[in-house]
Amino acid sequence: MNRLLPVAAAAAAFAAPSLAQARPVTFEVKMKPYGGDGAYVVLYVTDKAGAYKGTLWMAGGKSKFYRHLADWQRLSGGAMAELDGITGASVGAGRTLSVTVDLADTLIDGGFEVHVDTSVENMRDNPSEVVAPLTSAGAGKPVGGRGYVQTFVYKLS
Amino acid sequence: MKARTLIATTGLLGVGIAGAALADERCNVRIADWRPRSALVQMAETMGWTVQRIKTDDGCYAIQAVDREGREIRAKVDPASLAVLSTRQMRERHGDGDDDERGERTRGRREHGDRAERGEGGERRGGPAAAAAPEDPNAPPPANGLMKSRPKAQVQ
Repeated sequence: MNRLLPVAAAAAAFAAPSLAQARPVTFEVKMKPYGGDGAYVVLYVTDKAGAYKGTLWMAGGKSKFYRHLADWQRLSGGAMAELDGITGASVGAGRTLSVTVDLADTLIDGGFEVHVDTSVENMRDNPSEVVAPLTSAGAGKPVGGRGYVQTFVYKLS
Repeated sequence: MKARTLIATTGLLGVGIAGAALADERCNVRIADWRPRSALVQMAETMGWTVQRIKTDDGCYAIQAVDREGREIRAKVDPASLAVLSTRQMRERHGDGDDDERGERTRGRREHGDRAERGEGGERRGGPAAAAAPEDPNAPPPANGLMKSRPKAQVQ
């Protein structure tokens, strides 16, 4: 029986998504000079099939406007409880949002994608304006947005 | 003669009420029951529409599309059943972006009215109020399993 304990412990360690193995990843979203108010920007993760996994950062403090981040709202079901501690100011035109996250190692090269939804008052909403696969090969390679995002890039440390 | 006038008036009133009801169409569907955008695009394609833009409005899908005859239309669609609740045809374009500009202005006014209705008027989304969003420095990371500690963010 005693001999089985280390085996069980090892099996458990491999089965659980190990947050102990995390690495700092910096996500940078550079905005275009779109000429409007501060943009609401949300970064969140889905798997390859599009199933929502979680939010990384919400830039924009008023929850009543989150419905304009339509894909995030639809996929997360408006995960307000999750946003505690990962919410900051909206991002002005021409500025750059930089978010550093101790990301679970399993997310890199694990078939996951980062989405960026943006919205500006009295201007168009851009659900999933950036969708980038989370891979070591994709790190450091800027991706353009089709709305207010000029470039999106993530860097592994 | 009087009877005919009365019938005609009643008929017109009926059309007016129906029109108002369509204009005020709202959807009350749980997020979990929303069909994906891909299904909406598929539905639009079966109707011969080429979807240009999808957004949400009053809890419904609102799509901007071009029909088989090349006319630009806007339609409100129930997000659960994908039933078309209302459609309206936009004016033909005479200049570069003429129609678009008008559409955006209309949206802005409606949104403002919507907010005023809910008592949210007077605040701008990306204005100073949003920039001063409260942050709890001791908040733990969300329990979504994505991160080990609370992220650090800055806007430059």
